[in-house]
Amino acid sequence: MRKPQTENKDGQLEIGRTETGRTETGRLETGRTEKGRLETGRMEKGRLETGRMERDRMGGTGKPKSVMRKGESVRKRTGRDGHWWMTVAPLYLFTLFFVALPLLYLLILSFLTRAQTWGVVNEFTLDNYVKIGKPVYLDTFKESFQLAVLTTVSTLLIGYPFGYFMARLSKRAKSLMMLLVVIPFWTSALMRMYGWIIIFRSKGLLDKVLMGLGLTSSPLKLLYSYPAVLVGMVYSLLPFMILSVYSSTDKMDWSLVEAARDLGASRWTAFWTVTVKLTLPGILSGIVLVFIPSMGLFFIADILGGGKVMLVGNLIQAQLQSGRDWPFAAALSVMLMLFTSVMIWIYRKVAGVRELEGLL
Amino acid sequence: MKKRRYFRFSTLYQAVLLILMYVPILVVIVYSFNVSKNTTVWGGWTLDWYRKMAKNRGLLEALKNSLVLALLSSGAAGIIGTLGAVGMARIQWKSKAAIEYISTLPIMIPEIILGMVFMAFFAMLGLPFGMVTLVLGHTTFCVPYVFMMVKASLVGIDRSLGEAAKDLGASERRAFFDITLPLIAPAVASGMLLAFAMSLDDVVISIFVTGARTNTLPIRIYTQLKSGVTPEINALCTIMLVVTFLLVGLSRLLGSKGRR
Amino acid sequence: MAEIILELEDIKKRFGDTEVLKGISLWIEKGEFITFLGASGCGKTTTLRIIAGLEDPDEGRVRLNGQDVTGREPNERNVNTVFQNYALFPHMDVYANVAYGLRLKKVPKKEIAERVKAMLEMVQLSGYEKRMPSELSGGQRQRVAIARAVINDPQVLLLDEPLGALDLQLRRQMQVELKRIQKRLGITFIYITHDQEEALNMSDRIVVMQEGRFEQIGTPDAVYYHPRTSYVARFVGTANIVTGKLLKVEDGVAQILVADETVQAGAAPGSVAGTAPGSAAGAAPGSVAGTAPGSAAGAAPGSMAGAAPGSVARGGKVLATVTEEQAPYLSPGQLVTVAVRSENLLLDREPGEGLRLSVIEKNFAGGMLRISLDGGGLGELTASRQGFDTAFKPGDMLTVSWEAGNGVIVDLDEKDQGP
Repeated sequence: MRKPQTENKDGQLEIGRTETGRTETGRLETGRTEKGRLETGRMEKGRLETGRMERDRMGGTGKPKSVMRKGESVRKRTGRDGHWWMTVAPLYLFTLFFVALPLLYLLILSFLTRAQTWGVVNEFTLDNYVKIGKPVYLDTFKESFQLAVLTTVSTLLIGYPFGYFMARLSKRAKSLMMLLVVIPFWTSALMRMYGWIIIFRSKGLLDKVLMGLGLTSSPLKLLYSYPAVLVGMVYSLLPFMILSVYSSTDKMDWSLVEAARDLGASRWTAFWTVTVKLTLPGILSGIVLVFIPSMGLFFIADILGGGKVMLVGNLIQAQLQSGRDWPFAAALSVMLMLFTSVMIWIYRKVAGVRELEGLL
Repeated sequence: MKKRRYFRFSTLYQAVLLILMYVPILVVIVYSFNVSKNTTVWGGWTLDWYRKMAKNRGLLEALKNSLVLALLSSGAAGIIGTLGAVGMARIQWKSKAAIEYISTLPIMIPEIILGMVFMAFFAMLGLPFGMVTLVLGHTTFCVPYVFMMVKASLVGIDRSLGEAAKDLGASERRAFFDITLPLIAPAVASGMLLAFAMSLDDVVISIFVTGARTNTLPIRIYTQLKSGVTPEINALCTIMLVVTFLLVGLSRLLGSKGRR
Repeated sequence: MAEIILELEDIKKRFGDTEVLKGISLWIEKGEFITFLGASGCGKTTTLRIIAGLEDPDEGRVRLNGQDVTGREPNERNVNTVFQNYALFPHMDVYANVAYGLRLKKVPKKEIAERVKAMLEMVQLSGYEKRMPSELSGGQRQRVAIARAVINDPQVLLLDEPLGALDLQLRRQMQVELKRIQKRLGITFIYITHDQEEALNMSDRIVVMQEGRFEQIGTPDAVYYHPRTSYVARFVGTANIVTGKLLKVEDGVAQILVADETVQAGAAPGSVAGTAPGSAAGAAPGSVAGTAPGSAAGAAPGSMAGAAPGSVARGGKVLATVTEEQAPYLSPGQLVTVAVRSENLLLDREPGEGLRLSVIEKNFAGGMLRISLDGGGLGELTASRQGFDTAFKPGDMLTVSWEAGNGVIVDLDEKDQGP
């Protein structure tokens, strides 16, 4: 976007009569200006972006002030404004060294060979990726995917009405409900899983209640089963869906639904044609926020599934801790990341937004 | 009439779901007062498990580790994230968007990948696994919380406030300390509290980057859940719950204050 | 002549591809109340920000009290700003806000207390020291913002649409108060507004800006009664603009023949306003805007009137004053533009000298009756009357004219007349 022109100091010097020489910023100060003088490319970093903002302001388009003023700080005086680089330096260094570099290393690792005993040999190979193609591992991916889909659909079906109703509450009730949804969210996930263990355990709470009511005659043996894992997953990830749906429903213009009703749509038609469409960004972001972690939440499968349910996450963990096959684990991770990236990419394409709604 | 029915159904639905959300937590709390060691039997009320927990060295050591870890990583994230968010708002570098994106990756990608990545990376670097690797690992996912909170609060601050300060004679630095910093302080605090809570709760990344001798509380709970649990864990969980409760409450309070 | 306090010299500024300021120069005297008036986007705020040091000009100099301050930081110039949205520090109470500038200058605490007290008294906010900005009304915030800026004894006080957010009544009241403060302190005020009433009420001089240029600089009186360009005439009060051919100048009064060339010639010849030999229609083909060549030109002389009653018959002879400066630039036959304020339009049912126009609609607003007149190719003309008038109905054919003194020739050799 920046203009290709470069700073033509000399050219300017010739044409303009220099009066005070240059300021500390290295900008040339010229005296009287003649017509047709070279428009020197004093385009410093971000200046052109400023232009756009400034034009918005000038146009008086009623944008929020913070946006309109944005251009202010990127003036020419980089000499004095310049020390801001020091404030971003820690973030840059930390991000590059402890996020970007490790991820890069993961990629490299996935192409290396496993050593016979322990560790890694620096030999390029594609074996790790070929290995994923084995039916055992493919099945794991398939099972993970199935569980993730099942989890996502369940959270959507359960969470959507909740988020929707939440948005229709009064302002006070809304913030109270928000707090109520968020609190279990921030309590230890392990503790909540432990709670489910107590409930699902053979002759545990659920069995006692059901048998007490005479609904069942013998213990259900729910713990360490697929349904238990699914319940644990849905339970852990439900708040993401609720908050996503809530935030987009809350922003929705209700008069549009009323307009649809006014135009003759039934309650259901209005809901399907207007409400669902308008809350789609929330739904999509909820799906992404639920789907991605559900591929990797190995400890739920571990605790509630008792080793019966094997997910990609468990596979990776097993490779790292018992199998010691790091390159293979790396390859699995890369595949998982690719998979989630594709999800996010699709989400962005479909929803046309960058930030996930209701993330914080 | 219609409206009323609708209201009732939605209330019922929300109530049921909320109860389901809280049941597992309540169960853990209730059983921390159970006389019997077995969760399938209710033997009456007692505070014994709390007393036992207070004497359990391993447990207390893990608790201490967890607190130190959360304190260090949320503190580091507080500095890196705040400075970063403030600086990012001022600079116009091309790399800005990329760095911002990468820095938020740790809370976007599945935790297990992050754990795996750090394990392999730290091993390659030859870092001794223990508190150092834990802090580094936790800081990476703490930074985004602080960064995003502060960034959001900066958007809400009128640019002309800083200009006004300069106009009245303040230098750039002075304007930052007098105006910007006090205004983003609630967001910094709330972001750090959130980071603190996340660090305190993390098990996945911790499992991968911890050393043989450094136990954090979630790791200990995790291993016990897989082998065998004593109600001491229930007692500890209950205490942790109270702590998290307070932290989240405080964070929300500060957050709403900052937004006003 | 009074001392020059601020000098802008050929300031240019562009943002990206947009040239926001196209080389503006201005001298401002000490103690002057000067107003930059213009629509949003005309560059007035950018000018102010350049004076304040919040923005650097691409070219040109800013001199404060004879000293070149171009490129200096805002905190290095003795200029203070009252921001459009007040920009009160939300985490400081009124006292701390007002005292902020003095604290930075390390003024002794006792002196700060005294000066803040005096300043709050002046803006009638005594007793509000401990209030937070969020607890103040719009008008009170405004006063705090003024106090906070003025207490630093600036050489120049910049005010960026300071009354924009207030309601009409409060705005009028604050206008009076601002003027009072300015007189009392003797500080130079540079005031930005898009509200012509505000500008006319308060200023010693008004600078009318458009698209990064100064259209006219002058006293409110001059700007109002002697607009130099049609833009100024339109922007400051509602003025009607008509263009026609100059017939002659006599005793400082110009006679101008206005023709609407979109009227089809060749209809039944009428006899309206055909005073001048060889009507405008015949003159300089294509020289009047918006004509297909040959449509009117070359038609029968004196045929510009429409035939049927109520139909289009718009041309006619009008008058305008010629000032001494304008006289040398005028010669018969040239095209001139005349501005007339809507309240000065004379309306008459009887045919006579002037333009024949039909009434489109009437509407009553703010104690004024506005009558829209169909000017066809001349554009719509508006007449305004005090009070409610039922005399004319839509569809009525009227003769529109004005006294010579009320017609002002504008847009004359625009490029040559420096500010």
